[in-house]
Amino acid sequence: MSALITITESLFNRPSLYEQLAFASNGDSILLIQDAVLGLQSPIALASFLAKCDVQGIGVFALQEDCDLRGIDNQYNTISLVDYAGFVALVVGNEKQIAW
Amino acid sequence: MVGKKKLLYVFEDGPYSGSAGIEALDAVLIGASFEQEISLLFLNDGVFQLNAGQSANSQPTGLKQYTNAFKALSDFDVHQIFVHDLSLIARGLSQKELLIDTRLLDSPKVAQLIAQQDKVFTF
Amino acid sequence: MDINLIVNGAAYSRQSAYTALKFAEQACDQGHSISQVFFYRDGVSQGNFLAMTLADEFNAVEAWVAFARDHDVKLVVCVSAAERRGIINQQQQAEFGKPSANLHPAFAVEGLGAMHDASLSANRTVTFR
Repeated sequence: MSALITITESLFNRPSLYEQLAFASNGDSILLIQDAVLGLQSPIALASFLAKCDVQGIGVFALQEDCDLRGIDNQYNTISLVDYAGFVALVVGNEKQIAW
Repeated sequence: MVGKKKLLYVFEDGPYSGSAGIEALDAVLIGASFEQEISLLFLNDGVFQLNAGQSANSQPTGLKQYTNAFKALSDFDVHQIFVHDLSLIARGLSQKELLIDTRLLDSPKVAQLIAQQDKVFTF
Repeated sequence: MDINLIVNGAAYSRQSAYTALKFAEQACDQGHSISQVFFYRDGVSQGNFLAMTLADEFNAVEAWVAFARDHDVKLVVCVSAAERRGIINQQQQAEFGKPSANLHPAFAVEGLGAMHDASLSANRTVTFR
């Protein structure tokens, strides 16, 4: 059963959350919300995380509004920005949600 | 069994500095009464929840060692208790130093366990 | 689709309540139903109607109450989590002899069984930390 994983904390403050990628499965999706979007500003900070997601077949999304609130410019073309409608679609499209 | 759902409760923080562990345990004990397939998973600092070396506080007003209640899980028919092996080893603990019988899982097995669940409650 | 929410983050201190509410409103706009919002851990503070915010600030309790009224959603605070954090209704105030109650009457006080009931019957469960 595929999962939507939501991450709310920043890569810089909580790197262990991003190491939990090892617990995700092919076909899962990850949505970065709240402070998790802070990693999108640097073109290198999320690079190795995204490379692993690509290998594992995991799609990565980020909440546009949380980027806008924080003045974050997404540096990654492999991260799709979604609005709250997209958030709902991700919940509906995966059998379960897990809040990391 | 048909109709039973798989529920996983994930413990991620150590005991005492916050209420995550005791509030997760409260949820497990209620969840156990629903006669579903319940599992517990201890990850990261969550492995310290099960450290047998915790000293019970003799002061009635001190923080009580609520983690002794993990020993009661078997009475509630909760037997699927999993510990992430790397989390345990990295923190200088071993399976024999834990309060209760557990099964160690490597990262791919943790991923499998999570993939099988209907609901995952994280604390 | 029937979706239930679990909200664990404190009012004002965390963005959690705001994120959860925006999600819930969007889900309803798309024709999904939110059967229950269960407030657990520090999330119980979102039922405290003594909370005061400035006129141009997000007020979690007012926002939840308006949302629940508009979309017929059940708001529930966990009894044990709320009592430990001093969030009680008038019945608990009388029962325990406390000087005041602070839980908005739109919120029900129930146990963790309510969270499990909702999670087992809903198509999706979404937790906001």
